[in-house]
Amino acid sequence: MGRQKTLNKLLHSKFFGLLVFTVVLVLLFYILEDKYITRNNIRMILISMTVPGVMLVSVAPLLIGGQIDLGAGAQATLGAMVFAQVLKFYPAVGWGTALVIALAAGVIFGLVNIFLVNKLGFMSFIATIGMSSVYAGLATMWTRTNEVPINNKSFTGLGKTALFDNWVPLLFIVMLVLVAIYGYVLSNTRFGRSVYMVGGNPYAARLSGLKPKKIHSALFINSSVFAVLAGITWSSYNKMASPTNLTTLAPNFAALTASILGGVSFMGGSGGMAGAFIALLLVNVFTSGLNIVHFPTYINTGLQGLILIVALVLDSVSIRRQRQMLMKAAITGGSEKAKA
Amino acid sequence: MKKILAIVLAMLMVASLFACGGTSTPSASPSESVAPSASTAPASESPSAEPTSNAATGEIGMFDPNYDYSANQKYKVQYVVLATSILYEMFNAAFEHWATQMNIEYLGMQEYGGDKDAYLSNLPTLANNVDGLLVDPDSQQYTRVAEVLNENGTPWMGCMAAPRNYEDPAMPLIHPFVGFDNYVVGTIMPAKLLEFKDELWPDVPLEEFGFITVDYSTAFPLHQREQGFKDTLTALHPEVMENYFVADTAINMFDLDTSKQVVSAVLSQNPDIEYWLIWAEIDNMAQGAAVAIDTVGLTDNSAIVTFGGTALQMQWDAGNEDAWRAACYLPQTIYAEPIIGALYAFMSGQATAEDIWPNWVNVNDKGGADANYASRLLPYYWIEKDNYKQMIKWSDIYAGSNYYPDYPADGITRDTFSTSVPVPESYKTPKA
Repeated sequence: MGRQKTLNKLLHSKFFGLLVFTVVLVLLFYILEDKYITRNNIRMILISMTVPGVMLVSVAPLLIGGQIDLGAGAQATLGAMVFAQVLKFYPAVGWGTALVIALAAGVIFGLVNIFLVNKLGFMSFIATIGMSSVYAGLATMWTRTNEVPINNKSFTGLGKTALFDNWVPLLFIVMLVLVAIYGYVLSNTRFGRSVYMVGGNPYAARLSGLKPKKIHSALFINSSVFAVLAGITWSSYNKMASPTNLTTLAPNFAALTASILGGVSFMGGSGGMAGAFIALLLVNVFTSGLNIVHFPTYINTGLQGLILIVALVLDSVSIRRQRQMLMKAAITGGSEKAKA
Repeated sequence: MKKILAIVLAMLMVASLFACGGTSTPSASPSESVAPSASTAPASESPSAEPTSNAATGEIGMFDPNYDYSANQKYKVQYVVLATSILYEMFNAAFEHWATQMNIEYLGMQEYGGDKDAYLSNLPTLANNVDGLLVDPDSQQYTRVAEVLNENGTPWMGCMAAPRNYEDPAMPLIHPFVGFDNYVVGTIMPAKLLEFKDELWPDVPLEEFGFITVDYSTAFPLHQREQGFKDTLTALHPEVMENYFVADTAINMFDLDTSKQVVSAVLSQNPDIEYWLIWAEIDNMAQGAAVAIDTVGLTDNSAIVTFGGTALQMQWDAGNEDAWRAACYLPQTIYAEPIIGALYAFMSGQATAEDIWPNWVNVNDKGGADANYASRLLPYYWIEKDNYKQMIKWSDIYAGSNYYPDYPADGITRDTFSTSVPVPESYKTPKA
């Protein structure tokens, strides 16, 4: 009975819907163009998912917890610059130490956000947009817009390494593991449940003994640290740190789109890493498919924006439906029905 | 705490009201002490450069090391760009250097983060505070920029894009231009790619190669390069055109990631092609193409070239090598010299926009029946791994700068390379 209930829940979940849609898209593109499923193309899709996938770990938990960090792209840029500059001026330290230093910079970025949001009471939307410009400006000023090439072969080799007969990039697997860990933490640990409660209803969470500011602090630091890691991942693929490329590419917005499309509510309190990941896969499958079937590339950009709008509309409809169900349950007293 | 922040913000806003300095009248009147001496001789091995003036007066609009610039007033000049990037920063450094040589007070670079409205609305204010401006707006804004500065009487020179009226289908020049013929840039690329093919893969039939142009089709100056490339390749080897592809970054931006995305799409669409000859219109695009090629493991079977090369130089300095093998390059100090030289000529009254460099007026592209705007072309040189340091060090020696102290200077003199090219015959021959 319990297993049946779980299976029913899975079949009706957004995750399953997106997964089916993704599989249908893959089959459709394969029928239209059999070059869609080749090692090169699959590898490109997985590589293109890696940086925004690491960003998912930055963006999604914070969004579930009811906050947002729009400066993640700029933090990725500046953190990668820290990494590359350490390697440039102190090549003997090795990339492991440079990584730790860069992640420590991520902690500092997170602390700044905590100060602005928790201490000064700014809205995270506003505070992080402002800090985004500061970090982007610092990155540009540091090298006068020059890129910083990275010549550490063991580090850049990570970006080139692929497993399973060169089908699956190593860094994609690392990203997948991170997403899986966070998915488990959010859905199966006390901390994870706290994040949902704080995101869903911070007042009720405080009344029930939780400390929303403390949880937000942890999430902001997590967000910034993984934003920096995303930037360093980009650097591994491209053998450089760039003061402008990541702020243009904005992988944080790709991760945000995927999170919302995958069921993470913009208002917080719901959604999960699995749905966000599948949504990211869907978007990349879609984009890659359009390219390979020679769809006019100018329409691509518009379509990707449309996906975000669709995601927001679906999210809004979902929130409204939940509210209606809760009100109905409150009126009729049928709380069990509302949970189902 | 919030109150303190609010007060600080208010004080900053008040201070900004007084931030604008006093105005000064731009001095465009000629100085009576102007007497340019003999110009520097071009390199002996350069193609026969047509003299633009007699030896007694030197060449207007170029730096003259024998001329006493301190005898003139110290002109104030500023460089105004729409959005900065590495190329603009290098231009800025080059202008700063030449300013010290020409007794110019260089006020640095002002940029607007891509905000076109801010660029135009702040231009009159900047123009009132300087004697001359170096401008790099969005090319579509040149008409308005020219109106503002000409009305204000401020001498100016455009930098990277040709100053044209892009709203007119004929796109006439509206000011003198220093730079490159973008169509010609495209025409020189096929030969270099085929040279790599013959050198690295002599036994592989040409029909097995794929050709890619990484383009940005919505920017006319860049897109012209693709047209030049395609026309030349078609004329040289029409049989390879079925394997010719355009990877257009206009879906987003002419940056590394977009280039990687569009080139990857081409590679995915053509898995049977194992050898690639790629040319990219600018450095960022070449970097993205190189990453895409590297990802599919075709670095050893591919060659990428570009027009630019600053990022390639940095890559080689860092010890990185990939499929990006060469660039058609001109050091920024050489590029900047005639631009700031022309501006100096305007400010000092030695020449006007209408009569500078008369030999460089292209009868087929001079701005209309009543105009005579010059289009001065610049030389360019192919740099590869084994010669790039020599070429770049030459720019230090020529300009008297020291941006590359670690590059070897043995055997390099001011005349090792030439800063001039002959005026094309087509400049004097009206089109039918």
